[in-house]
Amino acid sequence: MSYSKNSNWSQPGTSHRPNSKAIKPKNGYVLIADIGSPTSRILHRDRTYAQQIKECLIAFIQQKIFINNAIDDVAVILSGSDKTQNSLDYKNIQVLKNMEKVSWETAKLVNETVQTKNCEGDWMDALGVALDLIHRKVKAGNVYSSIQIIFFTAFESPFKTSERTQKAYISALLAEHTSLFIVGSNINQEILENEEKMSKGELTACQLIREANGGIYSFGDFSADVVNCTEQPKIGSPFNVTLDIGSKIQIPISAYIKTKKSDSLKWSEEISTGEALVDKERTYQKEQSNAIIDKQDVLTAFKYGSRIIPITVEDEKQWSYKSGNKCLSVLAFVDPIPPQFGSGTGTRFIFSHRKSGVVDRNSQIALSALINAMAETGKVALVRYVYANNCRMALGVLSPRIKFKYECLVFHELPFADDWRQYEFPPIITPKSQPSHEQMEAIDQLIDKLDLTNDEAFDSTKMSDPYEEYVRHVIGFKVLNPEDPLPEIPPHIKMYLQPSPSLMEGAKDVLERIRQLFPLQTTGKLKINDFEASKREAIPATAEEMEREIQNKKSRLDVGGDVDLGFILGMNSVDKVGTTNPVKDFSLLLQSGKKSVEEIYDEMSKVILELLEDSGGTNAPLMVKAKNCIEAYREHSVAEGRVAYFNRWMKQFKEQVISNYFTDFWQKYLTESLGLITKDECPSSDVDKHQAETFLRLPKQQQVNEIDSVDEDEELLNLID
Amino acid sequence: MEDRDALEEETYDAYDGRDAIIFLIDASVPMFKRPPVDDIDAAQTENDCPFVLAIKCAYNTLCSKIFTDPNDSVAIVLFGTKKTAPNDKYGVYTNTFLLQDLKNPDCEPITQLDDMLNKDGGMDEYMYAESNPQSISLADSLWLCSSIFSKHKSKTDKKQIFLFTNNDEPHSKFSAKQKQAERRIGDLQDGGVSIFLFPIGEEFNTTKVYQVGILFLFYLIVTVTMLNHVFIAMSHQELLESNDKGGILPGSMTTDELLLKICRKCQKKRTFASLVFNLDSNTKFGVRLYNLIRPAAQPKRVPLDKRTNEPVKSVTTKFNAETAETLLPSELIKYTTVCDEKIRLDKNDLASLKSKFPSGFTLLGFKPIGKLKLHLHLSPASFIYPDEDLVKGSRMIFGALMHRCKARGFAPLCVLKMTAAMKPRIVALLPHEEHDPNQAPLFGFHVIILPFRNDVRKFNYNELVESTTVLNDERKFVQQIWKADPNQIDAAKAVVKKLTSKVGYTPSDYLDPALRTKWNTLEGMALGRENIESVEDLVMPDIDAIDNRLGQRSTTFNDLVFPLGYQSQYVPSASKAKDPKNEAAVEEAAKNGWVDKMTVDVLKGYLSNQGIKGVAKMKKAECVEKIKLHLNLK
Repeated sequence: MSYSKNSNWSQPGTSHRPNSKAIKPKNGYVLIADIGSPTSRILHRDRTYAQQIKECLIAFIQQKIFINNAIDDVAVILSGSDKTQNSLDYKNIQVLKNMEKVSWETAKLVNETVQTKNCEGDWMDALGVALDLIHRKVKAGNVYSSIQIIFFTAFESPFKTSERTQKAYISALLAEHTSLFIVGSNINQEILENEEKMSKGELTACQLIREANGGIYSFGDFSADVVNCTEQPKIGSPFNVTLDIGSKIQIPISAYIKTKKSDSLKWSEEISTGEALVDKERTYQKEQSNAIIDKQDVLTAFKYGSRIIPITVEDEKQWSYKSGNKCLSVLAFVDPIPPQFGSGTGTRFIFSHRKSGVVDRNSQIALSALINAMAETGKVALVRYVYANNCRMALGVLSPRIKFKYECLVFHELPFADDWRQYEFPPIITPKSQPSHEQMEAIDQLIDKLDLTNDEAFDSTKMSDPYEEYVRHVIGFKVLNPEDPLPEIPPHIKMYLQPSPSLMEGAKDVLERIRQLFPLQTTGKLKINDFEASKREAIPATAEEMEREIQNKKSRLDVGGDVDLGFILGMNSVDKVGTTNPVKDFSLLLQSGKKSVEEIYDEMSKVILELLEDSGGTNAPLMVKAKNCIEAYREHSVAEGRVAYFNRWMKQFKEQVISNYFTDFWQKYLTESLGLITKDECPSSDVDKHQAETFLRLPKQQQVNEIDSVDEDEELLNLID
Repeated sequence: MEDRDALEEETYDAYDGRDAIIFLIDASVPMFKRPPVDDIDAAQTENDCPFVLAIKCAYNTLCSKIFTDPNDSVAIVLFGTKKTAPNDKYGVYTNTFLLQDLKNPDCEPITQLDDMLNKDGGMDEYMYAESNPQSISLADSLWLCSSIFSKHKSKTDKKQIFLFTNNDEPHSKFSAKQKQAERRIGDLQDGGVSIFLFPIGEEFNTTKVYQVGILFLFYLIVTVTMLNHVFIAMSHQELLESNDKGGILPGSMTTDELLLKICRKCQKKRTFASLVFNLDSNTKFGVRLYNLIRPAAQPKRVPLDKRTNEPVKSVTTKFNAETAETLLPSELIKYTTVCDEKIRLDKNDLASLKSKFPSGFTLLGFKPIGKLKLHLHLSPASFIYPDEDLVKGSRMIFGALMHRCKARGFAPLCVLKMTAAMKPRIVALLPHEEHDPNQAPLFGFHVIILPFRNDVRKFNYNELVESTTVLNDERKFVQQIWKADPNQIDAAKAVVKKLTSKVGYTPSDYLDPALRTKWNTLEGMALGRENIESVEDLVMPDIDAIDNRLGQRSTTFNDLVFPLGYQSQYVPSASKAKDPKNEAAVEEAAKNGWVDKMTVDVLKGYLSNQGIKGVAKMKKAECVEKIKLHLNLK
């Protein structure tokens, strides 16, 4: 792996790339976390440096559990711990977990242990312990395709070093092909270019990395890389056959699966009260009497109208269709087939035959001739496809694909007559319903504004499956917090499923125009659609529908007699964010899902203004309350990734603050942590730290204006001047 | 007007259930006239009189419905017959004969039609049509149809009449009978019945071209004055076009074509989901999602009590593996094991994970169609069409969006979650406007599911394709893959060109032989047929024909690409192992006690040839044991 991005002088060396030919290559990781006293420092969002480290460690361990069959080895070392526990007996260095196969145990240990300790550890000592660990492991016969030391520290604790030690470390790093990564330090591009600005620790670390291998990363870049818990599957074993054109031309080929729906995690059933397994048994009963019939006496039959035709397995084998030997035979060449005709569940890429890693050169030439001939004539081949003798037969198509690095045929299955439904869909634009010129133009503008032609974003083949990611997130969360309710979808996953905020911002005007040009009216069907049927229906779009849905849910609960009292009570007591206990109302409403989040946000912002108005800009308790509201609102927005919404409101709010003379409130209570949501906090934001800071400052001019407006009578003011 | 149109079409669209179909077949004298023989080829295959053609259609519909939609109901009414059968249920109607009452497809009606079609003189009974056309009344037969529908038990069925005739003017214009017929059609319309006209057109095609107009005139009078509800199965233009081509196509109205049209009409337009399409949080419209390509359903199996031939039901019970107590669903919990840790989740919680993602379409942006990775197919596409029922005004915005995307070659990229149980996916929408009159009209977007990273396998192409390192113009070493030279490509082109089919691929050209074999066999068994018709396998390459067509070209190609004496390293292993020739060798080896020296493949092949089960999972030692046991060597 590489931690990518701003590490332009790291050398993600090829030497520690997994060797694809080796069987099950495992990687080794040593995580070193500095939890000495300086790590109690608060970063943003009230989290300490140590907490940030903890999150990164857990995310990293979780990722290793889910990928590469969890065969990688992970060790955790704490520097600055209150315990001393290591083979070299360095003080305040604790080996929390030896270098062993990654496990939840490690994640749990980190979750329990990692917090700021009132000690300080020498980071060079910690590194020494890590190198020692690796050395022992390798000596014991473990083979790693790559070894990495990932060090979380800001170099704020004192340390000792000497040229000799450094040299020894470098040779140790090089000897085991180990790379060193520093995460969460203050080192950035600017500092890198100016060594004088570096602290002594930073300088030493940079020297080590330069001599060996490695890189330097911020927390954000590191998290972005370890957050995905699904991996791209490797190539599977091929389907070997000859590609036949008549009886004379036979080209030996190997067909590999290129795309196929990824497997989800398998869930089984067990008894909720204990651990006992569940057994299933299928019995056959008489329709009326429920009398059980012996399995021996049961026969399968087919229905033909009212007649029933009993059939034995042997008989069926006898008369059913015989697809013959496995094959891939050309029926004819035809014009390319439109993509909507693809049936089947995946794609195969066809290359020349390959046996024990040796490609058949002659068949590659033959295949190349055919591929190029098809490409030049613009034809594709219809083929008969049988995977194994007398298995299901399919009709398929082979299309040529020529790239610089390879040439192959792409195989898709095609539908038979019975698989194709020719429903009629009459023209949508008719002389009677012809969109106006303006309407067409607005759509054209929308296409221009949301043009993704040169945008790498939303290339699905580069995105992880959001649902699978979420399930793994939930599993990780459940292991560490078994008693807590299920976590919401984290923002980094939501991001995949939302249009890019900056793009939408740019298209705001066009979208508004479209909204005005195309009258759209939600009908009763969308609203009334009861939830039962709506298993396949649209989700409720407005709060009103949401309420109805909940009513529905509730009535069902009532019927079942299995009522969650707290759930209903909680819901009945709060239906709106009030000024008495706004923060509590806010969180209850969000939990209940009774209203759309946007609506709750709007209520919250109203309450904030109301409180400020009541305070008259002087009543401190009310202003504190308002501040708490903003805090809660902001926190939820960050967690949910609704950055654009919040930031838009914040800008509005600022205007209101200025025009309503609540500048005192603004200056007193709004600190950095309560302004615009920045990129650092949530990746979907497009506001950087600097912008956020300037935003918080009330421009002097505005303050003057404000005084102006306080006096209201400008002329009077001028007279005084 | 616009609203009414939309409304009507939507009610037609919204249908989801069972059909009740009446085949209303003209049995007057002209229907028994055989088409004149212009073309000798056509005469041999297509020399059925229009009446037989219509009966064939009904027969085929019944035969396929019994498998695909056993809960639909079908009736057959003949009109213009001399023969009338008084019926207790519906009364007597002049010149009208109820051949089959409205009921689920079953053996007897199928046998009856089969006899009519295939037994000598099977048709005679109905041949004596009323010779005086004046006494025939379309109104009467329509009246019978409406009584049949009104007495039909299942009221929610979608009612349809398929009217087969070759008579373009059953009643003269403005006659009393015409007026009666119009009134009946009006009544039927009020009762929610759709009428489809299947004109059978040999006459029109061959001589009386202008009668097409007349035929139309008759129905247009009805159509314009009374209703929009008579769907003319063949459009005016379509008929004219087939004539325009001049080739006097007996094909324009052959059984096959008629069947295709009926088949299309009988397919049930099932909406898979009604969804909201979010342009952004403020602008949303409604779409209906359909699945046009999905594997056809196999005939259903029912468990049966062997002794009594009574159907039985299968019940699955769950119980505690330790205590053998039966368990209720509420006592169960879901778990999964990840890295030796068991994670338990309540069933509802597990289900709720998916519902946390909002359903419907969310627009992400637009991509040029050429830039999509459409070669990475993942699962069959779906299709969307605007849904006015969900959001009024959807048609207009959908239409404009589709039109502009089509014109500019862009595909909207969206997030789609189809149903509560499905996970969100990224999809591309391909605009489709079908103007070909020979195809069913198709206007809307195809929904193409794009694969995620974890759905795509990682290939190291260097290992799959042989290449050599060469020095390029910029004096850099690059990998260049082994490719065919222009001569070899030309030889391949000759092969491709020779085997290029003039007609492109359409799914309807390829019946699934496996499914059809099953249908035919079951039908044969149920009806007690002696000979079961075998199914022509259209997906079997005709090796001889291909070899003949290619002639020398295949040799030329082989000589150019394969060196002399080329022996492929690929050996179809299974067929070699299963070769019956091995059998003797294995048996002898077993008797001589060195059977364990043979390869596992051969042993397994031998065992499976001997009909022994579970071979695939056996280890070598087990195979040897089994063989010894099989040959009684112990």
